[in-house]
Amino acid sequence: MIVVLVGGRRERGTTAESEPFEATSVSLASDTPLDTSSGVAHPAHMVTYLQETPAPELGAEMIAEIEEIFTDTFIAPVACRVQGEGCTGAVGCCPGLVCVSTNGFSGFCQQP
Amino acid sequence: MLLPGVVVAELGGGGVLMDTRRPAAAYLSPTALGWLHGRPPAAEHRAQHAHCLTQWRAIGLVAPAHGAAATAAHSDLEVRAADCAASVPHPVLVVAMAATCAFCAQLAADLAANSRSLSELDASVLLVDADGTRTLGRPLAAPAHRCLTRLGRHAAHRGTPTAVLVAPGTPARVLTGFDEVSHALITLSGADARATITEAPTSCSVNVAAQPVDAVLTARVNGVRLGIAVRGQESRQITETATGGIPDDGYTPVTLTVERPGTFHLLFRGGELLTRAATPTALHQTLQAVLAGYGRHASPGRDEIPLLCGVVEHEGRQAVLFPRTWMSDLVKRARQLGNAGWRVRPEPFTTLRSAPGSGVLHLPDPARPGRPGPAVTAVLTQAPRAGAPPTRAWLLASVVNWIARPATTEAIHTLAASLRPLPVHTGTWQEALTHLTGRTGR
Repeated sequence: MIVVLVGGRRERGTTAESEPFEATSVSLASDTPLDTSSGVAHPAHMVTYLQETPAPELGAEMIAEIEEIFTDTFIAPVACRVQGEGCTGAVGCCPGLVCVSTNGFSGFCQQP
Repeated sequence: MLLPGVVVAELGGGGVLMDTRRPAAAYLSPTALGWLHGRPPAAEHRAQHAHCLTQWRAIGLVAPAHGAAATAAHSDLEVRAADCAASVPHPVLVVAMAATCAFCAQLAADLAANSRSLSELDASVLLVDADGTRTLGRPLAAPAHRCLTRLGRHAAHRGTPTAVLVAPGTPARVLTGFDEVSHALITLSGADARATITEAPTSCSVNVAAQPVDAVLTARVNGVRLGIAVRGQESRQITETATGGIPDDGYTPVTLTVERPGTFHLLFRGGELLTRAATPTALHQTLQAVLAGYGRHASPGRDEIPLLCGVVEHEGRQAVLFPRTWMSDLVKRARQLGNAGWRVRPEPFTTLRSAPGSGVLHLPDPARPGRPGPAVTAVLTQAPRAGAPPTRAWLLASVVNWIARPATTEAIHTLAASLRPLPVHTGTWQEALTHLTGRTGR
């Protein structure tokens, strides 16, 4: 089953559950087969976003919902980030600071 | 408002604000895209407009509102460095480190791997953290050591690693970040920093680099220097034969690591596993392919778009892009993917071309240079770990950000336009594996 999303919007009740991403840990020992016995349910279906199609019936409420996130930042820094600098959950602030997010994705390094 | 080298590309239903010189970008909703095109914010959006500007400034995409603060901090560090310069008899690189900083851990691993070339430096390197100061290279007298240690502790406030290069008779230079500090170390060792590959670490890189290595070999391809760390005599022999790498050729950050902890020969790029080779011949071939990839990237062809992502190829006909963070997991399942006809390409950059007219992205055909190879038919990626579900434009913006920097404005616009018709599938790497092996042709 593929969940088709038009206009970047998930259809209610049909989205596949997505696990939070974890940093890759490398096993050096053997040719480990895919773990199907961990008890963790992998839904095995990806959520598909197809090319957007014109949707003239899109109401103002739906547009506002889609635009809830006005911006989001992607960074690959080369040093820890100091107070006031942008960060994402996966990108480290300098010791003693935390990444405070206002949209759930990216934010700023601040004093805890 | 936009800083030099920052461009806006439209994606349909939004856009992306891209730095062409370093890996920083921002997704733009349609409303935010309008603001960058000069449309004034509506009254009910003023708070969001201000927040967007703050966020774009924080990652260096738009001009800062108050440039004076950073300048003041910078000049303060230079004044302190000038005070120390009077007591140093030779160049000293003071590096501010921190225990919980992954970039510093990778730098420490590189320094340990390059210990022989550092011991021959005609300079000193001072590593300063909360636990104390360690001196590499030439020794320093106590007064200079004390002054430079204070300087290092002050430099840590600019983020770690930050270094200050202090030399008699020349103004001090402040260097922030793994790249800049590594470049300073390469230059101090007498090697060419601009010709040396320096790839910023990930948390996975730190895991791979944690154990000591037997040597760092410096390989040269197409004018580029590349550091290959080896563990074990057999790995060293294969690497020397395949790459022509030599030890003790100046400071070289570790880019590749070769080892054989068990049955397989393992090749890592930073923290990513590129291959698990069953035979020396297979490792040899992969090493040569990876090295050739770095060589090609040093002088890219016209119209080529290099991406920092992985790619799986299906029987030479179609290709699917995926994030680099999945590389190790998919390489470990190479046999399962192979049974379904998919091959994970080990090259360090996924080089794409956009076909004139159709705009279809494709890999080059290795057998017929200049002819289109497998066409890119989809992108697999992960959704953000928190917050609302992403929009398609958000996902495309994150994929455009895979482009290797520096990038040309033309390449960014071509990539953004060519991605627009492609399906984007989101999920975990396990779901991606099932997606690829459960069916083909999507």
